Amino acid sequence: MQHPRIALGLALGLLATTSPAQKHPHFDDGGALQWQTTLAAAKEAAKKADKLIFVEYGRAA
Amino acid sequence: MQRVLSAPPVKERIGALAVGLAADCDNAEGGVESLMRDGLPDASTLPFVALLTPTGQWICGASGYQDSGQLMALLATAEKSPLLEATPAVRKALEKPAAAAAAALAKSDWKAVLAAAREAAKSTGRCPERTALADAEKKAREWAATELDAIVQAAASGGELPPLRKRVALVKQHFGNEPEGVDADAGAKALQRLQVVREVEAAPNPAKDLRPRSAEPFKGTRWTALFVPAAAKPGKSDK
Repeated sequence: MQHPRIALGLALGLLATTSPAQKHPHFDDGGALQWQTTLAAAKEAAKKADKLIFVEYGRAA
Repeated sequence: MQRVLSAPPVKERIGALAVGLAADCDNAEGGVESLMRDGLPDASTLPFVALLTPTGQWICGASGYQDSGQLMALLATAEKSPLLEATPAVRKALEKPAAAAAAALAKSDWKAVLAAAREAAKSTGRCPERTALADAEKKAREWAATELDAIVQAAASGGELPPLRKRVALVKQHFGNEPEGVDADAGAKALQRLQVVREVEAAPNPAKDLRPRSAEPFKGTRWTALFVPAAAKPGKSDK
């Protein structure tokens, strides 16, 4: 029998694999957006959430 | 950019409309670099910002600092883009799942609703069929959340466990490996554990930490509420 925490962990792990949303690497946007750092991951997340992709192309201040 | 993104009204609007792609201009992917160069051929002032379709097609962009009004205007332009509309082929492909979802919704057949929604997720583009599918999926997930909450409440307040186990099994049956199905798995185990707790408590001198210990495996889930002693529940008297 699978432990519930293991099952939940596996589910969360699967989510993390398919949509590794994270904070912006250069600044804190106050949680405005879930950021990806590759185009492929952004496309996947956008498709899943039925949203557009907002690209911020810059460097750390 | 930090201040503009984190303040209203941009924060709410952009969060509802987009996911972010943070691209470091000194180490950008080739695909992103060419997208920005083609979309903003004369741009020279960082940061560059852009809005793309979910499939990565350029919609609009700008270079240099964008204040709140400029960014809101950019979002409005993107939102109206014809690129976001579903193609006739996509609409045609969604007709069948949309009809299946509508029929399933009428019968509360959530498994079929979710199957239709998964089919819709294979394509992109706005259209009434996709909206109907999204609405049906939302109702399915709301049903599961409401049902699981109700099961917790009934079990925590002393309800008979066999019918609650059946209700949890029904959620699992419909939602399978979806998050709600995983939640239902945990619920089935929690109800089993609660049955044991009740049996032990029916005998003299049960261990004082029986309920906290029983709740431990379910920490971080809704199911810990099953093991809160009656005296500790809000609105309950010690008498």
